Amino acid sequence: MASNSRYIVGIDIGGTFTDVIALDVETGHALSAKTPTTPGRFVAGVTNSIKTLGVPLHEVGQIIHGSTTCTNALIERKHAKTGFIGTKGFSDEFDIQRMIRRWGKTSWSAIYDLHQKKPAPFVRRHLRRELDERVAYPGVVVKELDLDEVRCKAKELIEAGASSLAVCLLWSTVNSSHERRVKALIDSEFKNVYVSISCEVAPVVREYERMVTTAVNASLMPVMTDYLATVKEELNSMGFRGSLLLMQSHGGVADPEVLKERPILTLRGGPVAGVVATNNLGKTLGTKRLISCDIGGTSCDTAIILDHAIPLTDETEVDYYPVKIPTADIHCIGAGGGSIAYVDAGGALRVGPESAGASPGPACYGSGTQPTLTDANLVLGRLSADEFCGGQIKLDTDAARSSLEALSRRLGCNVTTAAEGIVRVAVANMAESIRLQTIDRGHDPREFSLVGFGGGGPLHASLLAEASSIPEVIIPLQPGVFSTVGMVVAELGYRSQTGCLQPLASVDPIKLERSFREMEAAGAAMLRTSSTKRGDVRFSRSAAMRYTLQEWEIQVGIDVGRIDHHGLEKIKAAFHAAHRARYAFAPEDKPVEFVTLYVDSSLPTPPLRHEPPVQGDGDPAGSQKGTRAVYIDERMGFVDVSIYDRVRLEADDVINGPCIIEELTSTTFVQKGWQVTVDPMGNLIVRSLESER
Amino acid sequence: MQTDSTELTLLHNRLTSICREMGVAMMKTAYSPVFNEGFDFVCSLFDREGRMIAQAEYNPSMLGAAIYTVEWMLNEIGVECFRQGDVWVHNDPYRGGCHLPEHMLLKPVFHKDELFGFAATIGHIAEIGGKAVGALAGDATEIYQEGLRLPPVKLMDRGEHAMDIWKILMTNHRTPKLTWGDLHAMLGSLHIGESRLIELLEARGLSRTLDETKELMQRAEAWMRREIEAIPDGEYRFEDWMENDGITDEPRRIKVAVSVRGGEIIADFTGTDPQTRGPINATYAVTAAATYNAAFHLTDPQVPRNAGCYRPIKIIAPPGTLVNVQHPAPEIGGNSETHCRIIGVVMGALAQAVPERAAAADGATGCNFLFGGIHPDTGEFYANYHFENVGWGAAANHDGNDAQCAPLAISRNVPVEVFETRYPILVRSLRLLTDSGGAGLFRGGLGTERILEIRAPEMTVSALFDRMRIPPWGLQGGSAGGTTSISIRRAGDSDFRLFTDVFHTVTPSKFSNIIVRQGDLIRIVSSGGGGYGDPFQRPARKVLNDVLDRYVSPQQARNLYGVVLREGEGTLSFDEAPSRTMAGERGAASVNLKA
Repeated sequence: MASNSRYIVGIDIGGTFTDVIALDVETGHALSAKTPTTPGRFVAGVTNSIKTLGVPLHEVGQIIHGSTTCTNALIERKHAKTGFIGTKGFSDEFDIQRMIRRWGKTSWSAIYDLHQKKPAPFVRRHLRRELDERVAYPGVVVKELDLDEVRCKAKELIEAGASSLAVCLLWSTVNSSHERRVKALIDSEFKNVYVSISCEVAPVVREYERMVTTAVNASLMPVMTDYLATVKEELNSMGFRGSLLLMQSHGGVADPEVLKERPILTLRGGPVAGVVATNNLGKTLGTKRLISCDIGGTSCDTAIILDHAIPLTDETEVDYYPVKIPTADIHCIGAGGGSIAYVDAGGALRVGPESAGASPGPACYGSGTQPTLTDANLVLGRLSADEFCGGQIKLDTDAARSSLEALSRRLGCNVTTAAEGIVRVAVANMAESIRLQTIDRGHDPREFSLVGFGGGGPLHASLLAEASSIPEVIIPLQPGVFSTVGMVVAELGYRSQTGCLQPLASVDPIKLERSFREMEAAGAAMLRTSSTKRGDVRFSRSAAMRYTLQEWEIQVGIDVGRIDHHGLEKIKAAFHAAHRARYAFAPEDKPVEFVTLYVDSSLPTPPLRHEPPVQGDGDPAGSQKGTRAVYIDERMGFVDVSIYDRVRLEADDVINGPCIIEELTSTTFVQKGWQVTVDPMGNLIVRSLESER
Repeated sequence: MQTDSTELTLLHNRLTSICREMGVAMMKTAYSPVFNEGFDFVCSLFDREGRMIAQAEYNPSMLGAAIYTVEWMLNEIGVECFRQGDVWVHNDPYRGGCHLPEHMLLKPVFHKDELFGFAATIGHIAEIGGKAVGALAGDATEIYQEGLRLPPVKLMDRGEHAMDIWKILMTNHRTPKLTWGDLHAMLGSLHIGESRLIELLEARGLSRTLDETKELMQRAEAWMRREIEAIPDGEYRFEDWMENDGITDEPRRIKVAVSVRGGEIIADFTGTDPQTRGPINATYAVTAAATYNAAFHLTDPQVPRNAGCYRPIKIIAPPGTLVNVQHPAPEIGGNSETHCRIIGVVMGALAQAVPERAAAADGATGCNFLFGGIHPDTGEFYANYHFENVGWGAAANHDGNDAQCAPLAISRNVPVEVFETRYPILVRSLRLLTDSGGAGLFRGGLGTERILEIRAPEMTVSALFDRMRIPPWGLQGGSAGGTTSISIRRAGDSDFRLFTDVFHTVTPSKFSNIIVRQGDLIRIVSSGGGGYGDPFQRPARKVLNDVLDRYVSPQQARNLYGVVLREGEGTLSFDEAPSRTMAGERGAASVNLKA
């Protein structure tokens, strides 16, 4: 490999900190750092953080990051002015929408809130035009497209100031010819306007969701194009000669040139990195059932990883707008270090989802007054006032304590009990989120390992595992910047999808095989145009399926080789099994149908190796750096526990909980009844002693 | 006591989460659009004395009625008769139910052979036999015409299908496949509720859980009482009308006096018109559910929803009236149309006590449109219960939302791309209807217009609408919202006409079993919400934006808002000075609250 592409750099830009990692592809070793975020100055942030690592920019072959540009543009509504062209009679669905009323303050607003405001139509009525054309199910043209009308309507919208146009015609999922002709005409006759058509962006049935997805994509096309132009130019001027890659919502990275057409694919590119990192760890350890648990300042993001596959969903929303793109199925709840604790009008203690964020931050940061989860942990001795974030932030224990006093008065208890209650409620909220993804989907949590990372993951992981009946916790190396690992190990990959509404019984296996092959060829072509890497493209097939007359699908992996009649039977059996696991029954005598086909195409990445720790003798005494009083539980109260320095721990060291292990980016709290072993790679493996009995 | 408090919070969250999971399983596996797109169901948990201990955020009209339905079932069946693996089904409005399509399935949950309580779901089974396809016959005169009536009977007997009952259902419903799928979705949901509850009981123990759920009810009740205490004491009166009962074309009055005394609300419907021959009667459970619904809309939405939060609200509904119908009168429209009107009168009454929390009337009708026949492509019978979104009322500081389900439910509209796969109908258009929102300082939300083209040799249709003549009221000088309509353009004709004109139905809004044919167009218009405050006070800039987006026509901008628009070089501007001083045509049917 050429020396000018020695490093792959992954960057995770958060609200407060920018985390960076550089993978040396020659040795497989990685360097990482945490630097303050420079809002609005992406390139400065990137170059600063790379400098911190001591890596010369000209030796960096790839920079990979989860861009928040599109997400921010959408939330702040700083996207392009977008016009919409739809089938005559239906563009008002932008106003009508079709959600249950759940945009109020709480989930119960859905049924009892007169004053919640429906989200504004994503495209306003005066920027929408209709074409007198119609395709009917299952693909028959009822009314032909009139190209003169297309020309006229496109012109009106452009004159009204639209710089992007979204086109979504009814039933384009089964017959896309009208949409494609509209795009061809606009592309050839109008310059400087971006066009998205729904059959390319999101070929899924249900017109409202598809039209919004298409409009969101169109509105982001200029944003992405401008962003890439700026970033590439600046990076080049700084001496960067490599390529820039962006993380997509489903956990694969992509060439930005491809994403100019589909910027929407980057919308959830941030949170997915931690899931990719967890999956990579699982492959290294050979562990097939993992729960990735990323606890930051405002949220707890959890995802279930089975058999080394990132779980995907296409039911995602941004700001209440449906975004029907393949997205890692991450449950996000408002439970993080900054989550605010309060007593509701009924006298119940609640934690989150409101967060004190980075500003004012938890009371112990010095500016805020409301008690947070971090304040509770500090008062309980589980965080150190002096060692938080490697000492970069000094915590004020008195401020934390006084923030808790008002709360404890309302609860009628002392400050310690209030603090313990906050941690317990927050952990229960997280446990509920894990339960929804495990037990409620037919998975037994006792078969899983919980991977805790992010600033707060290691602090709560053993408590959360205990509350969720998970017997093992893994705290990876440098848990505070673990997500960046996901950036550099993510595969270059695309997901293609195509509509295929058809009963399984009437599917011709040869045609089905051909559909998959066409999608594979398209995926391979996308990878080859954008990759500098070599290697064999890997494909994996799946399908969204349901019983005939159901409206909602389950995604089923298809691994039957070349599809024949026998293969179709196997696919059917896999669907029955998946339905049974998810919903507790499977009427196997009922007909089954396909709805959507998917192909994931990917190229592998170079392996990542961390410097392994020194082999120890099992005795961690050498890495103990002191003791402090830490609250354990109601019975034991505060107990003096040993504090260890993680970087000095050696392989095979064993420590019994309760204990605290501190390092630069995080603090691990191990509860009584749990035992830590340092594995040969340096991961902390925390096991419940109870489960071993 | 703090430990207990935290534990109670966690228990409440867990129980609610179980109900939510039951709902997701039901929605994702059911066959009828009314379930899988429309969320026309509820999931809840009860203790062994029939007290609701938790529920999830699904159809609020069923949530309020469920407490009566379960109470009735336990009394009739006898709590000692429930066995592990049994599931009981019940839909009789005259046994504590709401209306015939709402089927309650009740499954006992045991912990070590001791009964703890029940998992319960109510789901709207769309086709249940009876006079008209889809059950909602607008001109039924007895409950026997409204569908197959089930007293509490076993659907599952110790885990096995009770085949006698299944055979009766499958024989009497016009679309048995859908019934089969929807009932199994409900059974799957109950299985999930039961399993989760058993896990919970294994961890906590039965008697402790029962004690804690009692405490949860007390807390919910105390919170609800505090909410009511914050409403000024007094007696507040309101009335509104159902425009006809489908049999005789005369309006019927619903009257309420709502007393707020400390932490208690008493809604007294004395003075309401007698029950009718047609199907707009409400059972006591429906009237109670609607009253709760209204009260919950005007108090904190976060009050925990279990039996406790209902206790401070009392309902007096004289038997034999529109709001407490007696057997064997028809009542299928009571739970959709009259329910809406009862919510409206209770909210209208309470609006006088808390005008800042109130809103003008919402569209308040389901625009229920039923159709069925033989599908020309499959040769199979299809049936559908279709409803529309309505505009919501404006309030003291915001416009009403356009096109959403009336407050009795949370249904989403069924996508055109789902609708057209199931029925021989081409949807020609689905639009917001310009000018249908009541004018006001804050404008009412818009209703919709939908046009359907019949693509089968023939189709049987029925309707149960209201608000076709008496529009949703405005508040504080705001105008009334737009009215509903259903009309038909016969193949070959050029105009839409009412069903009274074409088919000589007694009323234009409620009829059944009309045969329409290939190429006919049916136009359904839903109602808009009432406006709030004087339209002349609405900033002209907002009126201009409404005109630009065609929510308001230039004519209405001039006539109702006093804003005259001028068309310039591709732009609109406004000139408010001269016209705004003129007294324009003011909105009718506005309710003024005391200062």
